[in-house]
Amino acid sequence: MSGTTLAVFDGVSKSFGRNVALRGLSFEVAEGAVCGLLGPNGSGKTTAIRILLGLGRADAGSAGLLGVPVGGTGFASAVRQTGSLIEGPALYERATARQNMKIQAAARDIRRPAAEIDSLLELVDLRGRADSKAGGFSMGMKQRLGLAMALLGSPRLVILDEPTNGLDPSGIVEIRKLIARLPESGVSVLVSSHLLSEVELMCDRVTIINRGEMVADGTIAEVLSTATGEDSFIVGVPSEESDRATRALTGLGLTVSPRGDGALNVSGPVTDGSQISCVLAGEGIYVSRLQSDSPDLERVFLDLTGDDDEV
Amino acid sequence: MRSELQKIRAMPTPRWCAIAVFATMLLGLAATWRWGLGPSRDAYDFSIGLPATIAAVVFGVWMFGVEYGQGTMRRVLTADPRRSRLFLSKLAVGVPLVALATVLIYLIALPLYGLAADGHGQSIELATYQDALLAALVANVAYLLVGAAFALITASMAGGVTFALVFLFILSVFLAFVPEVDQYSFNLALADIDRAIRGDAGGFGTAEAENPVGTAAAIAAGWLLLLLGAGWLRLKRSDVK
Repeated sequence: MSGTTLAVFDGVSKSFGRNVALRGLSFEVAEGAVCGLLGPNGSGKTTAIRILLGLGRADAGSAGLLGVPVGGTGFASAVRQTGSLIEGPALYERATARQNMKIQAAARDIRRPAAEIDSLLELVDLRGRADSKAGGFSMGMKQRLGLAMALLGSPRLVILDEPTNGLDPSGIVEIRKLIARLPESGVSVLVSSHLLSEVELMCDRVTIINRGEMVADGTIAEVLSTATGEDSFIVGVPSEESDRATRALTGLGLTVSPRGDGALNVSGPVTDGSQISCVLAGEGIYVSRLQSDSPDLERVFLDLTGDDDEV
Repeated sequence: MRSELQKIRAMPTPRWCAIAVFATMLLGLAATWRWGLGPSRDAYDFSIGLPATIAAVVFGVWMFGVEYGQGTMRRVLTADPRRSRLFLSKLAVGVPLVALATVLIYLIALPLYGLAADGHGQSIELATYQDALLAALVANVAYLLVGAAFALITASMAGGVTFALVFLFILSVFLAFVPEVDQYSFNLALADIDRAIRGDAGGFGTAEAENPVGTAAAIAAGWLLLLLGAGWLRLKRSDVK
């Protein structure tokens, strides 16, 4: 990361009537990073993004894009250097994919965009459907077209709100790879998603918001380190060896408890599964399954947002 | 402005508006060929004038309403967030385009109606036809602006069409028949301008509601400023979904 801040929220609050969407939200997106914005449905992710892009107004606090206050002098130029995909692709359904791209290029004042349009359609695997009407596309194809439109004009920052919505598993993998590659070409990314595993795979940093407030912010490792509980493993051993294995592992100072599926839950001061396997092998017990059960982003998210239903 | 032109080229509504006016022109030509121009140039007034007016309203609504109807306003404003500029650029494309389309359709229709009327021993007086074109230019641009304003006020394509038609064909007509305020009717003001251009009586509303052309123009402009101002404020100040 170069250290330049591309997007900043400073104490941003926003209400819709009695419904408070954001309460003093503050966080930053640094240049060169893929930043994840996580939160349960209704936590204020999209509202925050709308405010950043000038689509909505903050009641209090301020936001800035590419060093320019939202709505201030130079904001139009900052927005033109920012690609976005917010709550669906927003296409002209009666126009073709290429026409949608041309309209967007003209709106962004991009001159002679034909070659760039072709290469972006190729990138999202829609070159063969360039002259088909967008209204006939599947949700995944529309989403990919929306992503291509967001990348028009080589933006410095791309803001993606739930970019994998409506995509099948292979589409999700493609989009994830595409997003992860963007920093190589100098594009920073702010991506909001509720797919925690996806965010964990593609983001360098993550900000978690809940009920309009930031509850965690940092690198993935930093956020994971806030999780309660120790590293733990699921260890499968033959059922007749279960007691002996428990004694051997307890002797190492580990906490062992049986799981419902016949395996053992092992937790304590052990960071590497090979230590467990080594001890058990020394006792002549051979492990049939050894799986890390360490805290992941999903567990941290649920801990912080306190809402099991939203994931 | 380039993107507005691209949309007009790519999307079907402007084409359908043009096709509808052209089709009614053909119907008017057929009627003229069969029965003549009518007692007071009814043929081209009803087959070009009225359809072009309705097409202007629909096109005016579409210019802004399409962005709400398709949910593309957020994409437009995240390409360039200057809302006043968007407002002006759409009008800067729409107004000349409707004016040009009005001139074109009247120019295309002139020799055709002349030929069709010839069999009935009728001809079209160029001066009368020019006046009809000028009156249509004023009306179509005004109706386009009304459509655009209501699309912005309602932030909706369907709402824009509905409210524009209600305003033009119900509220404004109703106002024209209410004593004391009748002279402030938008439609009556346009009728007064039409009368001044074409130099005939006619019109509608209460008999005493006739305004001098300057006053009528000021009343029509006042309505347009009021409606467009309200639409611009809505666009400028509201959050975009």
